[in-house]
Amino acid sequence: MKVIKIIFLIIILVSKLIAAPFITNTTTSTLITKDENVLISLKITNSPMPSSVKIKFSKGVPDNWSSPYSMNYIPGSYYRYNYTIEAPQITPFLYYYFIITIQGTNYYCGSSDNPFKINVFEIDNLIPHIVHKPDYIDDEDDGIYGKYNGIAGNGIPDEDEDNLDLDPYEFQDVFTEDDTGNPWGITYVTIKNNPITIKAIFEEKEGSAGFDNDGKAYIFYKTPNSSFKKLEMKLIQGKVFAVDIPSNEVKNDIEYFLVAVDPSGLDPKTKTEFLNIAINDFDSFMYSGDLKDNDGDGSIDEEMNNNTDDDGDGLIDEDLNDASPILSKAYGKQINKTIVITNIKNGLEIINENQIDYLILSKGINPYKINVYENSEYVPKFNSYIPIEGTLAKNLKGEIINYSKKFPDGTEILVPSGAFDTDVKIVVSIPDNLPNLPISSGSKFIGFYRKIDVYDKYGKPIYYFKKPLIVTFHLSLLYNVKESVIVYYYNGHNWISIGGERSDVDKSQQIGYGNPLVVSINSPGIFVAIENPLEWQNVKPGSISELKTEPSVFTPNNDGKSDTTVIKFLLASNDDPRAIGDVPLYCPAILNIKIFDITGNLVRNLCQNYEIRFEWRYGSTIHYEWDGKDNNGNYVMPGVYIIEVEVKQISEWLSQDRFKILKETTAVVVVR
Amino acid sequence: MKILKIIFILLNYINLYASFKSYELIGSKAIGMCGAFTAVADDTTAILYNPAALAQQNKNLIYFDYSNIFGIKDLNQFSILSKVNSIIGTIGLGFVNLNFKNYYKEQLWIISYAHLIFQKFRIGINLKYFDREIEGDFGELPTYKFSQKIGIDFGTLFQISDFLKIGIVTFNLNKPEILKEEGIAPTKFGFKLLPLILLDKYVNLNKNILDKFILTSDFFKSYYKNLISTGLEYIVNNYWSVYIGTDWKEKFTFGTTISIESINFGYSFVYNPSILNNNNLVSIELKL
Repeated sequence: MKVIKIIFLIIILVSKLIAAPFITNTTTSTLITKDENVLISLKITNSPMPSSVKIKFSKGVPDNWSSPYSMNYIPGSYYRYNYTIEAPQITPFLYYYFIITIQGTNYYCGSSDNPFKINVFEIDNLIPHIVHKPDYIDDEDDGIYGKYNGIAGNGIPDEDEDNLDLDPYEFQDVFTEDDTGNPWGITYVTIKNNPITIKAIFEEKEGSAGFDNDGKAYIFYKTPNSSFKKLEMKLIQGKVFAVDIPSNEVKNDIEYFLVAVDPSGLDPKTKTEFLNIAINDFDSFMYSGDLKDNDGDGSIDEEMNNNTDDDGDGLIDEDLNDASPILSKAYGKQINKTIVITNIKNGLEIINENQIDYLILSKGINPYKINVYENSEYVPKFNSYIPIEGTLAKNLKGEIINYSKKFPDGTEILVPSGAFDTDVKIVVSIPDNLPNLPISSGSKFIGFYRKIDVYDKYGKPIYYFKKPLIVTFHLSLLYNVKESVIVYYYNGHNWISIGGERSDVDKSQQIGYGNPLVVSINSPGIFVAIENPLEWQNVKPGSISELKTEPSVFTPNNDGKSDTTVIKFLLASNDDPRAIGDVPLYCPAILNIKIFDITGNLVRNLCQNYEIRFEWRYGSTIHYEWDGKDNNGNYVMPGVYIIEVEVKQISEWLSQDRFKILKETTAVVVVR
Repeated sequence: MKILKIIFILLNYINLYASFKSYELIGSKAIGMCGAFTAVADDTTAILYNPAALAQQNKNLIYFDYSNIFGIKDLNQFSILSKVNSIIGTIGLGFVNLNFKNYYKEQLWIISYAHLIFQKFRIGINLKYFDREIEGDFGELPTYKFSQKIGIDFGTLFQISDFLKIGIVTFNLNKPEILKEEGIAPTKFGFKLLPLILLDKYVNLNKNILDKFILTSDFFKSYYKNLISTGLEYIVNNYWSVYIGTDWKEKFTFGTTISIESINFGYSFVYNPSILNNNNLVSIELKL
């Protein structure tokens, strides 16, 4: 019997092994609107990949299965996994059960082991709700939603004809009974930028039934880049619930978000008084006493760093200390009132029985200094704000178009939607000094260099863009280029090649036109064009070259600083895409990265069977991040670790050396 | 045997901390036997593997080795060790230096003392000074960072019979925080065996080869894995010996020593099929 048992177990084991692929993980969206599909992400491991994925579901109870239907699944060519699949036939209900089946052509079909249950809420079943559609805003809380015209402070009022020129820096959506007819609601949803926070307040409406304080309210929220998340709202005072949606949840995009409160845990009661509380986050209004309005035009002096005499009094602006802070003029009169402030470290709170409209926190410069302004006209006016040079990139909410500007030197900058939270001033100039250039024997600086600076409306420099700007520099006929050039960027520490390759210069073009070097940039800096750069000289086509880690020393301790290192290398194809025996352009390959300790013991299988491609020159850079953890999820001991990169060529184009394995090693230092 | 049991139990109940990993890449013979050296430790590298074994040779010794670790560019290590017989006992001095691209440095200074407690039972103690320095521009990190600690090792070596030795060594008894790793019990237990003598009871072997094979194994437990390493030495003749070893998982090792008069030339390598290059190490030991 024992022998039979063993044979049986072996058969089971073998059948498990060949029963590939299989689903290891599934996640779904849990809250959807009428217009949305349920999104199901599943991780399929092992190979070969299935030819189709099917789903069946049961509404409410796990016994009323729909017939399976194929999901929108495209079989991966090699080892792809983590598919997101739309299930459009699902309509919102309280909850659903799902079974996912994967089907191969000639092999075993796997399925998720057990039906998994998810709650599929329909947003309209949750009360109340606010769908933020920034192109239609009721900016004066009159129940009339006007279309934001896309330009703040341009003097052109919004289209609801209420003659208000909405400031795009803040959006407040005030819940009214007209929207849902429910006696309580979200009274404020405030969005602020830089950093973005969203605060929703859920409170009783005037004259309505109240709710028991012992209950709980939950908020669901969703941004374009995230699935629905649920947070418990906190009772902050009286019968007011509030929640701060973490800024990191929404920092990528606030063009659209949706908030809903599930008050099912609250016990409605009768009559309570209306409590008027405004809670705002004014991080975006970082105020510095150094900002001056010397010419009294109501705006900050744009030339504040240029030693200019803006007001024509013969003194440069920085010499003057008598100018009033811009904000007192722009926003109204400063007042002294007793306020109750809590949770100041989070920089959000103001609770005041008196009517105080807005609180301005001088965060960053003096984190605990608070200026309170009484101002019925909150919206700042920037009519006088005129860019000195360049363009006004917009904080585009609602209908967004990319904005581009051509500068006098021919440089064109395209600002994608969502690149900034604020109006910005972009300045293209020629830098006074250049750091040591990244040139060596064989490479040459051709004399083209530019500096790009970006400032917010207060003249404060912006160092990071939320989306890359597309910059096109133009080489004129003045530049005598013999070899290919690319653009290097100086980040304050190092020169980094960022592409923009060009192999010749057409001298028939006029200055400022033609010969474009197109790059995308994530931050301001200095840019130069280098001919035949060193980086290319070191590229070895068909092999792993320039393997390194950045930084080469890192501290994985979750303190937010240097917690990870990026493993970088170039995987360059040969120049001739059809060269037999060589590595053609876009030749696919499989990447594996292993981490060993210094004695050769395997610490981490960092990357397994990741599909990559050989590309050409700059495009061939491969990045992979290590968080300093071992296979068990523990941080590794301090010391030197060996990183081994393995690339398997798998192209059918290759007449020889198919499945050739390339290997390179480097090391990285982990410290605490 | 009771004494050994007591020592072993005591050592395992102490909260202990790991040593520098670079320890395990020193000594051509030790590496050749995949680190299964606790009960052998018959050269100057006993300072690192088991200080109690330091007094096994009568001569004064000076040892030097160098390795380019797994062929990684700019990652190398060298060590200088010496053993001196004195009136008060055997004293060892050691210096180990690990360098990576001139911006990361691990250094270790060691003073060892070994003593014969009674016939066939030796003890040894190490006093170690660790120094770790990082210097360079690493983005958000400080441009200079260093940490220094002191560590203490304790080792024993017991000759059970003519063909069996047992060694136990415990590293970093004082728990220097620079090396802290929760749950680690860096106590190594090892034995050295002449396997052919055991076989000789059952098979009639040529007496000349009985002591030419030495089998040794070390056992080392950490919280995430148990390590067992095994090595085999074959003494070809008075001038030449070869070693092989494995950790039964990833690594295979090989080493050899050639003795020419009072100089031992050593070479070893570590082969790990997953890693591109082998780890090669060369050494010279002078007998004074």
